[in-house]
Amino acid sequence: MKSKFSKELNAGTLSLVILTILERSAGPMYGYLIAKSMEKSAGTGGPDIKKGTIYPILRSLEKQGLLSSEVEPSDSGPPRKYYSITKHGQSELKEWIVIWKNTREFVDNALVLDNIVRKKKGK
Amino acid sequence: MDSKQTLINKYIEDLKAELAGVDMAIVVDAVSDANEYFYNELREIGKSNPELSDRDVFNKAQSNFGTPKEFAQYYLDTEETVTKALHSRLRKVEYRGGFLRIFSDPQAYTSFFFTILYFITGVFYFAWALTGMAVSISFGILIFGIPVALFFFGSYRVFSHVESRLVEAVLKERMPRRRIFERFEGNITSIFMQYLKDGYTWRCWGYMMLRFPLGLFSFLAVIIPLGLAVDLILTPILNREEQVINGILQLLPVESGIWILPITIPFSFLFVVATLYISKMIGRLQARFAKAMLVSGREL
Repeated sequence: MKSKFSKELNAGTLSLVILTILERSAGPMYGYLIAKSMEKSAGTGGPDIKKGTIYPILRSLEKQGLLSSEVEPSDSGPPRKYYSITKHGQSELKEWIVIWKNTREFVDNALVLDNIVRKKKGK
Repeated sequence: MDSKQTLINKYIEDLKAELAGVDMAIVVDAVSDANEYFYNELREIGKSNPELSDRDVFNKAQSNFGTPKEFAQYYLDTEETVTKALHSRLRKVEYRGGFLRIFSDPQAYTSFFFTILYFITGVFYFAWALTGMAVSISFGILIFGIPVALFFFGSYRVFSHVESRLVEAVLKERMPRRRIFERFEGNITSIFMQYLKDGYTWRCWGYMMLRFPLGLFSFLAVIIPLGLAVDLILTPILNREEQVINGILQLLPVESGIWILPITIPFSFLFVVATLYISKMIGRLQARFAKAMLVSGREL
């Protein structure tokens, strides 16, 4: 149950995090760099996110027009696909941030209320 | 081949096995992504932990990335979600009106315009493919023959990727979203030989060669009924000689004119409907042809 809940929670938030990373980056980023950036954001106590989940999300965001991409050959290894956020992606990100803040406030309030009730019941 | 590469290759094979039966375009994308991640991660882990064995480095990378089964499932889950999200709007639209529902189907119109473009690009692709092959063979005996041939062979693959993106964008057929991961190593002659032996190069060339006759057929298939539709309206108005309608009406002891429009308009309308249906059908065939040539048999 724990991993199922974690998986469902991550599924919605990863897109938000990816768009935020690309919005704040100085230039286009390829999948591996984005994964590393997310690893830094997660820190030691953050959610356990498999890097493999990022790639299909990048493609889906591109398909929806929120990201654009260019393939560039690398000095060694496979060619890299560099992603950038589009104007449509930037406007969607603003809306998603509002939704996220509202959701977080809703959940936090529910958890605070739950704590109050538990204390009153002496649990 | 070093053992890290062997481990990556094994991962890729397991990934392909997990994605067996899935749309080949998705498999190509998944393999490209896995290759990109593992190549970079193994290099970084190897640098920061030089004491680890290749197997330990790979296991660490895989634990961060996901097993082949997990990665395949991420792809399938995301693909299903995206497909539903993107096409739900289209599915919700009910095309009412029997056979006239084609007028409210945007795919019919995009297929029509794509068929026009298909013919124009088909001419270019055919010319480029034929010229490239002729020049490559002719220059084969010269010192710069191999770079010239490599340029043309490489261009066939690039054009094919551009074509597959166009087919997905316009005809909504799932195609790979990035170029097949190419690992051609060695000097220029060695790379050229690898291109020559790679079946995908020849499929791309064959696709470009066939685009002209197919483009011509497609173009005629949609333009002829549309031309007849226009002709049936314009001829009575302009009362021109030597038109199809006059040819038919010459059987009657009267000449065509404005008065015959109430008869020709319904037929013209039917030809317009036929044009749209034919366009949509041809669009589907074009997409399947592109997929069969450029995706289904691609070596990964």
